[in-house]
Amino acid sequence: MNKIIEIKNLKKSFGNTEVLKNISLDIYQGEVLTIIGSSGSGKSTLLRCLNLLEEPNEGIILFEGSNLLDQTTDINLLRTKMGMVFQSFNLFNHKNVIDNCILAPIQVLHQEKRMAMDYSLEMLDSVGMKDYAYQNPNALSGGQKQRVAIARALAMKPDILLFDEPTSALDPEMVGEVLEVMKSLALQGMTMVVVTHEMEFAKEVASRVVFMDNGIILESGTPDELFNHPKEERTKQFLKRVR
Amino acid sequence: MMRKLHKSMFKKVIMTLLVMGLAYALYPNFIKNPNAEASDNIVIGTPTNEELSILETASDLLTPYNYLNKQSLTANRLMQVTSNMALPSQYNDVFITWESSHDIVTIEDNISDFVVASPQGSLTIHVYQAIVASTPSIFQGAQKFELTATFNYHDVQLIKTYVGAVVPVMPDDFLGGVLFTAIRYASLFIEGVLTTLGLSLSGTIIGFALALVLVGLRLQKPTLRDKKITGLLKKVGSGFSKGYITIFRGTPMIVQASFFWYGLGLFNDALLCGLFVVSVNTAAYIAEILRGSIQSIDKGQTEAARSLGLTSIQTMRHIIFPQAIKNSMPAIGNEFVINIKDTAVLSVIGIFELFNQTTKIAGIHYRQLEAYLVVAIIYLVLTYSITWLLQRVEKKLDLQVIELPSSN
Ligand SMILES: Nc1ncnc2c1ncn2[C@@H]1O[C@H](COP(=O)(O)OP(=O)(O)OP(=O)(O)O)[C@@H](O)[C@H]1O
Ligand SMILES: [Mg+2]
Repeated sequence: MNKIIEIKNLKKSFGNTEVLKNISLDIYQGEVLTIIGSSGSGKSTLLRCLNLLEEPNEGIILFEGSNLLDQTTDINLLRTKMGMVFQSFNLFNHKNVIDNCILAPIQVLHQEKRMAMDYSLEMLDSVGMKDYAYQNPNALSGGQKQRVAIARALAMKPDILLFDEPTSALDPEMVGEVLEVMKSLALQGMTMVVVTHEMEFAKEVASRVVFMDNGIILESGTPDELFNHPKEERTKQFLKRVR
Repeated sequence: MMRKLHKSMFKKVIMTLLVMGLAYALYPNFIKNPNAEASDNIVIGTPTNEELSILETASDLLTPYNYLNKQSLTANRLMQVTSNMALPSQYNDVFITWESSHDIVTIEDNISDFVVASPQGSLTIHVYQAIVASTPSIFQGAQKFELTATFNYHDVQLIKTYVGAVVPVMPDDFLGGVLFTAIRYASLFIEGVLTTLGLSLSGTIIGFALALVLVGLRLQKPTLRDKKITGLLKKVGSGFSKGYITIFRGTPMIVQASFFWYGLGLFNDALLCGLFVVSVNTAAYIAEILRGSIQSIDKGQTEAARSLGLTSIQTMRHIIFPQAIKNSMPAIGNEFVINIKDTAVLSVIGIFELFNQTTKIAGIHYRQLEAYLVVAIIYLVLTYSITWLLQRVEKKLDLQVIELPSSN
């Protein structure tokens, strides 16, 4: 399988606190990688380093062959190929649903408006939000907002999607609709990195699970290996707690 | 329903503007001051050069005289006549006769003596009495008249015509005085209002434009990816903006105005200097307002935009700024209202905005209380109505955003 991202010896500190300590990890084309771990272990920081929302201090991140940390790399260009979905949706409050979706295709990819509209509507349709295209974000429920956020990311035709706890801010009855969308994306072969506390989702959908603890990747493997036969004591404790 | 409400609002505003325009067009002539003028000399006969120079000297020296204020009535002052005048009848061998065009001013036939103090001791002048029949009411307004003086010397004559006006007298009582001040000097007050509004509105608009630059510089932060020189430039820009804001918010506008006008003397037009001072001052305040509302926009908005590949400039332009500007509209409108009041300090550099204009008006009759009461009311009406208008506009903008979805 092709590696889409290679992380080598990644380090990140906030001031004096080292949040990522020497992380190395490969992400393969078409896989669904889930990252689990207790709060503060550095999951979000790792994910955000992948599209440079956080600046790593040291290491190498190769994305489709180019090193993100190289000064000469056009980071904005690479970001267009990496979609990101946030815990708090982060829809643009002053734009309606369709305008949220077409902004970047028009401004960044310089697509024709007509074309951007058509494709965005298609993506909205695929997450079941086509009927809401002209609604304002603040008129939507949390689950609907998150589905729009996914469609917005998809409108850029990304090679990989990064999810940072996409269902953590949702009311329990809305978690399902978002996970459904993510599952169908996985089935279509989208490469996804998902930080999540939804163990059921990880078990069912993930091709690989990574357990992070205190800034390092303590253990990784298939869902069966990690959930049913964890090797590390810390992993066992964590799984016991979240169960 | 909402739409209809706005339409009726809109109509009201239009109607108000129309009525104001109409009132200004029909703005009664009597309130406006007639123009002061003295005609060119007309010479009758063929004087020698010497005769002509004697006549001209006499016509320059001898003007109507006001007992009450003890001053000669130049053409300008003739516009403000409220009491009897003395008209000189003789200057050495030059004899003068007077005629009035209007019976509000009648000229007596007999010559009387009139003693004036001069540096050489008291001096007796022969004069005709010009009797002012009555002063018109404030609602009649000024009554124009013409005084024609004929200067006779040997058998040549020089004729000069003055245009004057008998103006209403300020009533002694307070209420009458207030009404008199407001009506009689309406045009002066309006001039002041226009200057004040013009200065504060354009000052706010220019200040806003400057503030955009300032806040742009202020928010520059070097990142790890920046080259050394870029990082340095960002620091310099942000430092400059910080210093600018501190200085202009930390010193009184009256000091700034004096500094630029009297101190540096960069400008040769006080109004331009005033506009400059209001603009640079307002820029500092609006920059802080904008910075506050830009920084109050959720960081997630920036992150979402950047994650889609937008540059920091695109993010600012399409995502952050539109939201920040909407949030800061009330505060920016408030700056305009504050400027309406604060431009009063520009009187210090001799701009006749509303306050300075009032000082001038108060000086005409030495009735400060009436004049300053009138101007206080004008300021209050201005600030109150503009605040009201701005609130309406804000509400309308707010509603539109929520309305959008249903209209599509
Ligand atoms: N911008 C920041 N400045 C300083 N410290 C930070 C910053 N962001 C994160 N941290 C710290 O880094 C550590 C890791 O944070 P991170 O958000 O990556 O954890 P996480 O695994 O995502 O936790 P959670 O499950 O709560 O989201 C935490 O101790 C956090 O306090
Ligand atoms: Mg997190």
